[in-house]
Amino acid sequence: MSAPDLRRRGLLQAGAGLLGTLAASGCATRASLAPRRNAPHVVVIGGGFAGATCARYLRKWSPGTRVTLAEREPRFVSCPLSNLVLGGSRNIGSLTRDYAGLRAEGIDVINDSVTAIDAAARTVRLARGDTLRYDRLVVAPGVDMAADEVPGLASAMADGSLLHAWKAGLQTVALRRQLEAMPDGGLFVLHIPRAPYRCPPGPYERACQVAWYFRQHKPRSKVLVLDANDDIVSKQGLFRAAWDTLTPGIVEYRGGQQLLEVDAPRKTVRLTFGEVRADVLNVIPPQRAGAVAAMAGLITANERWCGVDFRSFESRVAPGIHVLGDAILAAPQMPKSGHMANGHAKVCAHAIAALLDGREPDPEPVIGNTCYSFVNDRQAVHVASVHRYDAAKRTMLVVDGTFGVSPGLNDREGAYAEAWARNIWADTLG
Amino acid sequence: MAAGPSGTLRADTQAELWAAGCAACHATAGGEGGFPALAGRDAGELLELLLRQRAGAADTTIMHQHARGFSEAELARIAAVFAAQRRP
Repeated sequence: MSAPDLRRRGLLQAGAGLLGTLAASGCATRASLAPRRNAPHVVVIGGGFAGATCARYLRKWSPGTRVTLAEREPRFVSCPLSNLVLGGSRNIGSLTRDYAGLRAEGIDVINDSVTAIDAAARTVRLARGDTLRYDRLVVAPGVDMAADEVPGLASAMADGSLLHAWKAGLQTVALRRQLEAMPDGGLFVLHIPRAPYRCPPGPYERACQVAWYFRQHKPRSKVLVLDANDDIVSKQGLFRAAWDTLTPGIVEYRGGQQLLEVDAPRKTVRLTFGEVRADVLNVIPPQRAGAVAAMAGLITANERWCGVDFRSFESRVAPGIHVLGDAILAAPQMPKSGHMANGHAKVCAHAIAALLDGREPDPEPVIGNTCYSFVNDRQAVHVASVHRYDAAKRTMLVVDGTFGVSPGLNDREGAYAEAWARNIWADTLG
Repeated sequence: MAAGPSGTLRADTQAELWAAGCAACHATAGGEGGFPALAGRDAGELLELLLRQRAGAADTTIMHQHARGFSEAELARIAAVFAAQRRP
């Protein structure tokens, strides 16, 4: 899009009166494509991989639709690559982007949180006081930490004595500082909740990154991975190979470790089989759909996740409201990943564009997934798959022959993983 | 930005959605760091490459997996979408 186009869009947004005048005079193709005052309005809640992508593709595929995106945080901080901050080869600033790209494409980005959703009246109330009316609502709230499920966890998270760093940002930086302050010979303990949680391979990548840092700077230190799952959830052989060959003797893995209690002041976790005391303790809490989902009554499964129709990502219980990303009850083998969220968003935007135009959504959407994990500062491994809607089973299934992982740890995919991140940020945020 | 969205939509809406999936790695207007730009590529050449990748006959890391998500006819429609887009 050229600079004059951007300026003209800025003017169009400046006032509805001006917009009316320009549109009536039919001054330019762009102006006629810009939403009219009585245009359909889609409100998107959440500016992560799911929400931001959906807003962008709605503008692309339904140019006559007004799109408003409400996001609590002023900036986007990427969870993908954030474990590299713990390893020391990245800084958090390099993972941070703003929302100027979305605004330049005509999306009204409101930096505020949502306090109420009225599905019957089709309104969203913002913390600042005003109310947005929508024709369709897209809810992409990511995950919230279900800290209340483990005794001691909620208070330790509230008073800051325990970090999860499972949403990239200040906590990531603070956890890195704890690792830097830890004396050589110390023990880093990482607890992993039962699946499903955000980013299945992420905890194991984190173990690789911390071990890599220890190997370079604190070689007598250890990483103890305590996993509530019986075994490594994703890229199992590749992570074991990384621990064995890149950081031999540093990582110890124990599966089947239910977390019963957290004692943050003593940096101690109590498990089914005894207690472990850490020098740096990192608990990834159990997770559920972000609070906005519950606000709109969208939770359908295990008091955690939102069931959707995968042809449009419309809620199974709330017509006119779509749910995307980590908050949904996923299809079999569909990970809670940024790449998946970006894919959900495109199917949803495409379906909304069709529905607003009086057409049926695509009856058989296809979504690909690629998740890279860095095993040190330059090598990466992937897991990828393609998922296609199955009308008979009313869910998305992995297409035969598409699921697979890297043959081994390699530099080439390290370069691809870096490029993947830059490209998906651009695809998501403009 | 990709070529006129409404025009492409009318041409092959479904393939437009499939092609949008590629942008996650290849970016909207052509990627960087080893992910080649797709917009404006010759449809025949692109299809031939996708079919070789699908058959496991090309040097790939993940593209053999993604290409197997689609039939030959579907890949041809995806290639046609990219061919119709303006080169970035």
